Amino acid sequence: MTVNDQGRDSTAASPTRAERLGRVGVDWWATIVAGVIVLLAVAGLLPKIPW
Amino acid sequence: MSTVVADQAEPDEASFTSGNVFAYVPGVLLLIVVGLLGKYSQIWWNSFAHHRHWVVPDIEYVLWAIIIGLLVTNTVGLHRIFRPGVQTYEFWLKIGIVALGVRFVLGDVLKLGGISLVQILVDMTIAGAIILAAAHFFGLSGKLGSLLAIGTSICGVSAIVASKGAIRARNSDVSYAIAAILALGAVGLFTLPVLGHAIGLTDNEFGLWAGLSVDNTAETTATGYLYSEQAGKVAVLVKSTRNALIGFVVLGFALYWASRGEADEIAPGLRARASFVWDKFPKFVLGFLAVSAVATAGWLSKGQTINIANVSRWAFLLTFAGVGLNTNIRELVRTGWRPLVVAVIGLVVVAAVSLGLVLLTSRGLHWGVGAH
Repeated sequence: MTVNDQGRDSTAASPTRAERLGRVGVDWWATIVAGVIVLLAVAGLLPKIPW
Repeated sequence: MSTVVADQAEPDEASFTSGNVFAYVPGVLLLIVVGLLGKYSQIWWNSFAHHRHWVVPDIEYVLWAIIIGLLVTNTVGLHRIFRPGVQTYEFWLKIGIVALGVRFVLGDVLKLGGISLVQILVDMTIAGAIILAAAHFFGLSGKLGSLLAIGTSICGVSAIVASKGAIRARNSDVSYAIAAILALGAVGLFTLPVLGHAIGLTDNEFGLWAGLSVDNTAETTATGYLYSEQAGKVAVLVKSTRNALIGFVVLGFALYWASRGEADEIAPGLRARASFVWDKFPKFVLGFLAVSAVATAGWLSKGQTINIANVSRWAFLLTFAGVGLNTNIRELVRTGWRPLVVAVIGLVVVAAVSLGLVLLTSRGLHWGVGAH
């Protein structure tokens, strides 16, 4: 049972914040997180990340 | 849906399996530890050999991370406390792919994506037809054949999961197809780089080959990076192009099975079909293109570009650790010999067709990413 499944089961009731976040999907979350990192870089706020 | 199918079939959708953020902490820490062990094993191994004046092959951190992960899962086992975090490896993979956009000029992405699109369409048609024929020959059900063709020609588990509802496939067929695809990916991961070196492929040629023939995006990325960083980059780009086609292929199979009355009807009209394709479209590809556009626009300094590229490397490192930790050899063997046989046939067919295409286009026609 996934968060999404849980979310689908309880769509009739008002969804909790966790359920709403769970419905965003991994693809979008990954894009959002990477997007924030890139925005920080564009703003010159991303610290040095070594490899 | 049975638990077995849910566990195996939905790594994309099930990347977040708990509503509790703290449930992910142990597993993510394990990914970091295994990833770091992999990274430093390469350094320690080379240093150890150098001190003793041994001539040894340079084993890439990618392989170290996967092998250490495999050892953990298949010896001491993965305690359930680690599972939610370990299953997030596809999430890190997608972050890595989006961040990797910084290493590509948008024009190159569109050019290489366009060229590889032609190769993907040819590859999909030939390999898909052969796999459908092989599935028929082995007496597999039509829908299992469709799932295997979708999985091997597009993008493995994600494509199978995306088509499951659309073609109303049975759970047992879904489990079978996924077991075959996972076995296929594991075999490809360890054999393709060796074959690539034996054949003498360039980095770009190998990246194209891996992108065309390895089915799961995480394993495609690992296979490419096992060869070289440049091969990894090209493999990710080609694979992302393949992923972008998920919706169209699933729609095609869904329409076919609906026309036979064995799947739900897709709502008529262009708008409904466009909505269906969009629903299946991997959205992180848009992130990749957006980051590539930012880099192309020159909004990033050289230092910040390197920083973002390093974010991509770290994210991939967690992915490689996750590939090893999520590969349970006993579970794969337990599914029986038929998926493994189909997997080997699928691997040979797809790899042979893809290699033929790569060599034809790069060395015969002198176009495509292999030509650079």
